[in-house]
Amino acid sequence: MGAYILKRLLQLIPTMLIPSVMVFMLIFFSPGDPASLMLGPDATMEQIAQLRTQMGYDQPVAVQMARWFSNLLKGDLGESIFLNQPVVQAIGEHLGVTMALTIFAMVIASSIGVTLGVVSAVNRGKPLDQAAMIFSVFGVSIPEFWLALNLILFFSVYHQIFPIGGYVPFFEDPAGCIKTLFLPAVSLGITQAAFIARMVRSSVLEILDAEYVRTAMAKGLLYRKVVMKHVMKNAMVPTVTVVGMTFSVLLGGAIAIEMVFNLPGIGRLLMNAVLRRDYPLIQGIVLFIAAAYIVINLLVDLIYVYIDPRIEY
Amino acid sequence: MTRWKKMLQQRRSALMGLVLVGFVLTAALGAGWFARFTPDEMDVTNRLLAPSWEHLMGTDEFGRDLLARVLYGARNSLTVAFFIVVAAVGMGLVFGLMAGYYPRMDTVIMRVMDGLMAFPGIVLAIAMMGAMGPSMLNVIVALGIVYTPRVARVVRSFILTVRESQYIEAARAMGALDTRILFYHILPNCFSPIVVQASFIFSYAILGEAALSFLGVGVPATLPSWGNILSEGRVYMQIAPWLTVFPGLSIMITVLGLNMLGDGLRDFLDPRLKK
Repeated sequence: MGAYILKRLLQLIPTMLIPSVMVFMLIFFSPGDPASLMLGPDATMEQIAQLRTQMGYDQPVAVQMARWFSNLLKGDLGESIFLNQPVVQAIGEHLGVTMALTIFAMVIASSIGVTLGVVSAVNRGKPLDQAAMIFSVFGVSIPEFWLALNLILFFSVYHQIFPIGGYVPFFEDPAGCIKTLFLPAVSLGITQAAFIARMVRSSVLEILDAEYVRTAMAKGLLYRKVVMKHVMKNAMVPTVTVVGMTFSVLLGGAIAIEMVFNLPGIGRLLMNAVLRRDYPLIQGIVLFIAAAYIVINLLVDLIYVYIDPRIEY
Repeated sequence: MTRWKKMLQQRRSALMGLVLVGFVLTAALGAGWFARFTPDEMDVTNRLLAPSWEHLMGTDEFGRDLLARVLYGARNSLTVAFFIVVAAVGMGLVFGLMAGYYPRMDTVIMRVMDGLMAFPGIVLAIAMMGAMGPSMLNVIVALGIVYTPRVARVVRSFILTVRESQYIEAARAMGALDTRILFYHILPNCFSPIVVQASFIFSYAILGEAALSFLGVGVPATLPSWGNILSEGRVYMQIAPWLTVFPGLSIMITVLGLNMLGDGLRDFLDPRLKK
């Protein structure tokens, strides 16, 4: 197991290589000189030239790339132009909110999604199944930021149950944190709950048709026991896969949700960077999100091995 | 034709999806006919009016008719989404065909595709829009690139299964060129999985464009699109909720229709994926 984990950790290096090159190349998508775009129309020629030299944009591409990778290996993502602070530090300051939001949304998505998926598979074709599937078809079709606006309207404007925005760190005031993050997490989690419900339903249905389930039933085991002991255990692997997959969508969706609820997270930091054309900050955040996603996928793979001993490593 | 009819009869939800998509398409194409105002016609004396017979969806902060904006917005949103599908399917086909048919190119192409999939789609699109600046074409380029790997993977895996089959071997033995084999013998056979993917990409594209425009990095604010209208309406949401309700509903109905149609198409064209 230890060797397997080490092997998978080493595999992270080539996996991260291509996304890093892509993030480096983002700068070449800009429709002109990145230095003058960053400084805006009021900048003097000297300022532009100075920034160009500072960022190394006047160097050949190969040199720029070598510099980018050598800094990256040192854990240096560069300096944000507008915040005047290292990108890594800026990300660190905003990470807590996004983490709290995505984890909260993940809990909501997986608990609702898995329950609905299992319940509707076990009650296949019955009204409960149909209701759950109608929820999931609608759920995957709702833009999460629109759901967020409607929830604000109902729960914050018409009935003052939850605050419209703001954020309280979990370790300062856990109850306050949950209260401020409840609506954002629900808006983010519901669409993914719908997605998880669909996938879990189909994998549970597949297992219910398996011969070993028929054997267990034929043995005279209680249906409840068959579902809990045989079906659920085997449905774990596909369920973990789906839940892992949703993480990337949650990270992406968190951007719009943070903007709607005015949460000072990575998503809002990214949007501010984009609106100010703060290229080093954009690159840093995007690379960070890709790395987080890749690490989560690795964790999911490691969980497989733990929950399903049949998987070889 | 009867085959398709049968599919729609058997799968009620696919029929429902087709009706919804048809409804939205008709509304978008007939925008000029259905709307009594133009989308940019301002009337400051009639600001923020609630829905009425005169203005079925109400008016916005400049007194512009929301129905007209949502209908013309449908045109822009659907056009952008359509070209995103064209771009993603086009690029995905080319890369998928090359990766699947030429083993030497496989590793390089698929590693790049994996690299693209290492980012949450919307994050990559926002980053590209941030670098390129907001415009309709850039939205198409950014989201087209984001969805390319989905098509490329499907096409590649299909080609890997048929590459060594006898009819390809026969074509090769008869001296057919690679291009002929690829476009004449292989491509028509991967039509079904591509259509299924395309229908889902269409719905992702609608959601993606709406999210980008909502965040202010998509279609420029001068053109109405569902995401833009939502973004503008958000400011007045507390006193004029119709400004966010109607464009959001339009997005939801379209995506719902496309998803239902996509599910039906998938079960019909690609029964192996049916679950």
